[in-house]
Amino acid sequence: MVLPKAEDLEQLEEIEKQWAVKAMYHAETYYGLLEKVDCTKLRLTPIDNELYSDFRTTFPHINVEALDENDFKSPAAKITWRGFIEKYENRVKDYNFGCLLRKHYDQGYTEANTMFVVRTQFYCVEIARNQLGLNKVIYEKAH
Amino acid sequence: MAAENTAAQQSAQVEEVAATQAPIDPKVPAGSRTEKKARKAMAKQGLNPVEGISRVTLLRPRGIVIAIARPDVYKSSSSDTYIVFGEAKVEDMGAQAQMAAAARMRAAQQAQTQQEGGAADASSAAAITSEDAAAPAAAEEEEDDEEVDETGVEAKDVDLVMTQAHCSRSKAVKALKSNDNDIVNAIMELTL
Repeated sequence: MVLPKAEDLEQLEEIEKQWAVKAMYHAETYYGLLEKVDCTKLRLTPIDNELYSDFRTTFPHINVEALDENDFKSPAAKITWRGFIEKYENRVKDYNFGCLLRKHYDQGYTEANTMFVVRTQFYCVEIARNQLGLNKVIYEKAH
Repeated sequence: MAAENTAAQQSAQVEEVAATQAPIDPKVPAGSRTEKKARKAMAKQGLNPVEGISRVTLLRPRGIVIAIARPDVYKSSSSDTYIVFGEAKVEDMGAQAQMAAAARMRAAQQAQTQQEGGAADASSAAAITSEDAAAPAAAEEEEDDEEVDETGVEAKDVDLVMTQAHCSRSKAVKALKSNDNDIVNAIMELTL
């Protein structure tokens, strides 16, 4: 990313709102990718396999086809997730950035189908969906 | 050296153009020492002036436009790199207000001595608009064709980023490298 130039500094007042813009843009970019490529060939991080197996071991009950918000937002779940996420602090880029995640794999980023998570959580769920081939429906819908 | 001679002739042409707008000092356009040095350095780089460009606009997100009216545009003879000299003005408004501002600016610019601000590298340009159809090359998006070391990135990732972000191979490789091979982030960096 290019650092802002002096003449653009006034825009920085909006920086608080920037994460929302960025999160939305990230979601759109990712969805665009799913429409264009076979998800089983899509790699999100350099450590996809590790994240996937750790996610499956730590949260065996999470159904990535249809997410339950309690698996992410309940007080107990938050504690487990925090421990999980911190492990990847230095290995996952933007590991705790705000991020939008689709609750149901076969639907897009609609208001009802979107929830707010951090990047590591996004990776875990979407890597699982990609490896299981679930996200193929998005590709098929677009063709 | 022949190359330098050509460059000198061409820069003389540009100064003629500048002279019609800036009758005060026909030989040297008003500019700092740094700018003169930059121009000299550019002539050595084999950059050729592109004539007939009346406005360069850099589009940023959220409708913010950086516009350079009556720019001096140079193009590298070996690659699709553009160097733009001129006074940049930030415009942040609707399309209609923009047009009004452009007209106003053009009027103001004619009265005004041509002022040369810092150099604006066209590498951040989203689009270069040209009102002169004789210079269609200027409408092309800037790309640099330099060879980049692709070790550490996968060719299929590069292809994916290239097609999704509509960018050159070297940019795709750089974006992938700076984003830890994260395809989504790389595309974001190139398109946002």
